[in-house]
Amino acid sequence: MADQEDEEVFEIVDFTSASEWEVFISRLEEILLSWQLSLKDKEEVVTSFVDLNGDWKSSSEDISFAGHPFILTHHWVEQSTVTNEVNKVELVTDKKGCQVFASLMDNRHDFPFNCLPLAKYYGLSDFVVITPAGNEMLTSEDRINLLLSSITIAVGNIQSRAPVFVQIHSKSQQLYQGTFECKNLRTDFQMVHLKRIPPTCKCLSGLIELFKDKIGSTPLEPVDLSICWTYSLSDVRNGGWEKWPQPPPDFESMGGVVGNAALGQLGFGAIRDPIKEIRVSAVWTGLNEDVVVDSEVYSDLDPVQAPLWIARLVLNEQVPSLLIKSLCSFLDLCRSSESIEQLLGKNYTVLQSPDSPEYERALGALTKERKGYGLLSSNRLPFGSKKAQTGGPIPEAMMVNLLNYLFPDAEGDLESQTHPYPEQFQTDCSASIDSTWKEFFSAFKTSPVDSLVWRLATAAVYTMTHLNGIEGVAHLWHEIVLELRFRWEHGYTIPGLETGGVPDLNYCRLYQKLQMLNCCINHKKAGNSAPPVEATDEDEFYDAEETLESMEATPQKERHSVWNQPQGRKERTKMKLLRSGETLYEPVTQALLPMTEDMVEEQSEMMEQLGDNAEGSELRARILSASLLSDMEAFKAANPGAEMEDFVRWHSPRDWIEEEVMTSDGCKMEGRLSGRMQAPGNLWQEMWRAAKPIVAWRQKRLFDDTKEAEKILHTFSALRPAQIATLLLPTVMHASIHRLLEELRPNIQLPDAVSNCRAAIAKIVQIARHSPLDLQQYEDLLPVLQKIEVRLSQFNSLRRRIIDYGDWEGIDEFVTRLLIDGNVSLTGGSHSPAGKALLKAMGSLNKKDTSSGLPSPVKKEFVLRAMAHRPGNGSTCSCQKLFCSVDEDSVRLAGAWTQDTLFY
Amino acid sequence: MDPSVLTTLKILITGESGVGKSSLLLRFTDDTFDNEQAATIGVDFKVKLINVDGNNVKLAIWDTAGQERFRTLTPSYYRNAQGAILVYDVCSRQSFSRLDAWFDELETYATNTNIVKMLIGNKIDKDRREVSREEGLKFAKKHSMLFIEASAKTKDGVQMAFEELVQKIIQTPGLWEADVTSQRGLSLSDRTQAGQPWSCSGYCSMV
Repeated sequence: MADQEDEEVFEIVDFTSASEWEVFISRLEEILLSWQLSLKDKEEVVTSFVDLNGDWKSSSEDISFAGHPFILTHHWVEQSTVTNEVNKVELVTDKKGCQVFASLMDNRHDFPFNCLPLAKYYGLSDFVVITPAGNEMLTSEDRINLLLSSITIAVGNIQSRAPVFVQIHSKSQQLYQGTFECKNLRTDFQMVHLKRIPPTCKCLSGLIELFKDKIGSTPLEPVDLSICWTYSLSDVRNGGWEKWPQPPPDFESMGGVVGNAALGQLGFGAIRDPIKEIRVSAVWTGLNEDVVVDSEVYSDLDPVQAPLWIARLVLNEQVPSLLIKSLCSFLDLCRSSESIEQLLGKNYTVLQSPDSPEYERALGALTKERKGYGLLSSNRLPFGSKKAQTGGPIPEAMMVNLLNYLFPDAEGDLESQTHPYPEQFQTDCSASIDSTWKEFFSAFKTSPVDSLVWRLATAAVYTMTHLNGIEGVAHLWHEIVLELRFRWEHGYTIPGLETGGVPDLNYCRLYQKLQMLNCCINHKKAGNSAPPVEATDEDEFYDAEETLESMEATPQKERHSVWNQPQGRKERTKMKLLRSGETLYEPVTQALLPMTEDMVEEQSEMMEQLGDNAEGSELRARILSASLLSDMEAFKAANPGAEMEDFVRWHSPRDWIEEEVMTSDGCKMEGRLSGRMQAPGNLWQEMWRAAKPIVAWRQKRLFDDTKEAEKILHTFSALRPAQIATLLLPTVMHASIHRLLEELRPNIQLPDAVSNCRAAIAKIVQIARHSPLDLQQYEDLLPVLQKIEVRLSQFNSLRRRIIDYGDWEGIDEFVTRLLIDGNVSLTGGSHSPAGKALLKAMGSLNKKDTSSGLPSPVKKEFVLRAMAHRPGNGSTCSCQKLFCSVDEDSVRLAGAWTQDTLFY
Repeated sequence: MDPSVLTTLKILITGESGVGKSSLLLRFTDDTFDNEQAATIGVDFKVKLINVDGNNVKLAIWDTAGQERFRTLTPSYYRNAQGAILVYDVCSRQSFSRLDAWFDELETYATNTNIVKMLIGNKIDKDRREVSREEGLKFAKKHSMLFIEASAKTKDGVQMAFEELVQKIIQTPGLWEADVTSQRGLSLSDRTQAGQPWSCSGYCSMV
């Protein structure tokens, strides 16, 4: 380069008349140089073995020849571990150190399964291909030759280390011609693909003859052979899959009356068989022509005795799966816009509390026997409309099934329930799931596993998928709201919810609302019944420790005037009232205000709005003091004659300060209110003065059960199916991942499925906390879930197939490796455990009774290699290779013929 | 929201009645102290704007009542809190031994799993100490909390306590960013690992 720059600038070099092929060659050289393929002034580092199933890379450039556009692509395998074992491959040629020749002659490169066709035919790991751009095809012999000779020049000029191929004829045919030159040896790559199979190509003996013919001279050593016969275990060709266990669920049986078992579980599994076929190849390498006979009439080759078998898996792409399908339709439901009335007609309009006698009558008869479903049946006797209501979209028998599943207590005792709720809800996960997943589950803001909301979610998915879609969901919800109203009005607790007393804010809002409804029901029940049994003075008789006092019970009672009788005593304490010396009783107090998340948010928002100044503080205190006042009044009622000091000792014991005081009688404990309780103008004192002795059940209700319950039921009945679905969506997602984990048995080591599960769980935990809910985020989860579901279906399907023909300790590992790597080498061939099972499977497919017990192979592949002097005996000895692949309807021959360009 | 405010943080103060929760809060927000601070009814609320490492942070601090009867009200206020302060009175053994129950409640109701927890031993100005500093440290260490002793009356440690808590929250990834993603992308990830989980890095523990 430096020399050129120093040249005389006045000397004109004329390129204007350069021909098209000269331009092409220089452009080709330029690209090959830019890809650093030139070996000029370089020693090539030869890697003896490259895994052709490895990581293929490519880069492309445009190039044109006489106005025809071409694409030049460089393909190569990215080598993870580069080993410089030049000496290991002992080439017979004295031209050592050429990667292409080493690759061609290395039989470890034979029969790769996951690489470009060219790599497979020749065992190459680094090459360049010129392909006509667009739909153009190279068919004319002249043009192919012109292109090839131009390439030969370019490759020779720059001493390319990679062979260059030209793709000819139609692209799908994968036909190439190519050339390579290294140290005065030129290799021509030639290929034919024939529809009619000449008899010589069908067996080894014919091929060897052909090979030797083509070489033209006698090879130095006997021809080296690699052979691979491939058998297929597939449904189509051998009609064999029907013999495998049928993996996909049978939909027909689910259409009609479905067993409740199907109700409780979300669907799982691929709808079509995810496994297309298993291919088994029997492989022989390192044979030579003298030891093996394989002719049309006789063959030494027995695949059962082959030293190596390779099992390969061919999957069906894009297999739809049940869970994802139902989730998709559920998301559609979330996006729907119809109201229940629009879907089901006027008979299903929002129901207010019905007061009609008809309604009562309808229920009266039913409630004698049953706890619930009053309204399901009363649906036949419609209120509000005189006309008998025609059945909803869900057939009655099915609806009873669904309702029995959701409200099993209506069926009667625990024993008679088909689907009783678990005694204790598992917040983490069920026993069927590997315990290592437990930690992930506690963070779900959804609902406990197998709770009412959980069952609602699975029932809604089930209804959406298998029963009348959106109309079905509308119908189901309508019945559920009726059932809930029935339970509220008749004081039956709603089953399937944790009985914590107050809504648990760790769960989703729907769950909280239902818990709230239960609070209302329980509150109403408690309110309607007689006042709770009080801890009366009489109780003291049974109190052993204070017999003395209890003897005085009667006179004690008389100390209170008629209008000042103690009321609402809950429990005695060890304390005595300061003034009267009577026992201090803990009063019965009003139940605490249960609140759902939205109520909490509303309240804290209101609190915040009051501001953070002193006035705000006081207002807040006054608002929140309702319960304090209620407590004070109840306390006064239970303890007539009590002082504020007495109240503080019960309510805020740390504000009662007891100190030892030295008096004339010695040491004595003396108590007083803390400074802050004594402080003048103190709200506590103010309230104490205002408080009247009123027993809890006569007080103004802090919690209005009717208002709350009606509010919830009204909201419920006005929900559109989309809103219902949206409320259930987080739980549906939780149930889905739960379902997938049930399938992921602990001993399955599918790293991708496991990591996808982790990712999905983390995402669900995160988005389930989002409010308002973002549908798109849920939608985005589906591909991950699908991957898991398909992978697990593949595993199940494959395992079921194999296990039918042999069960051994390593079966899970074999299935896993086959799934993940796509292939498994079985050393020992049919004698390995997996080989035995596969042999048995193939034997069962074989209808013709052949000696080997195997069906005929779907493909036979041969690789023939030899070193020979070409073209003449004086030429350098060089490598010759022929690859031949014969399947049922075609044969492909790919030869690499090397010859000396100097010595003929 | 004021654009100069990086984020609003929700902080909750809990602990036995009479340990000085409201006093600590008022000392911090208004720099006042009332020996006879009225017993809180239910919950109270204060807002304070502070500057931490050049960022303005708005604190919404919820002060809860310690009385047993109010306890059922408070769990809801743990929701979405990024920080929680547990207070005990160094002159009351009983207020210290009740900490386990308070801590359990915090663990149960806090919705942010990585909520930053701080333990404050209050009233160190008083001379009849019943709980040693070491005991407080031990509790904080066991439960991965920040720890400081303070006095609302003499101001000792109060300002530091809140600042340290806020700093820790800001440094905890995923705890507060969700609220600001729409406002501006401020990356603090380069200094998320600060000190041990249980002790104040730097000056807190020197008090």
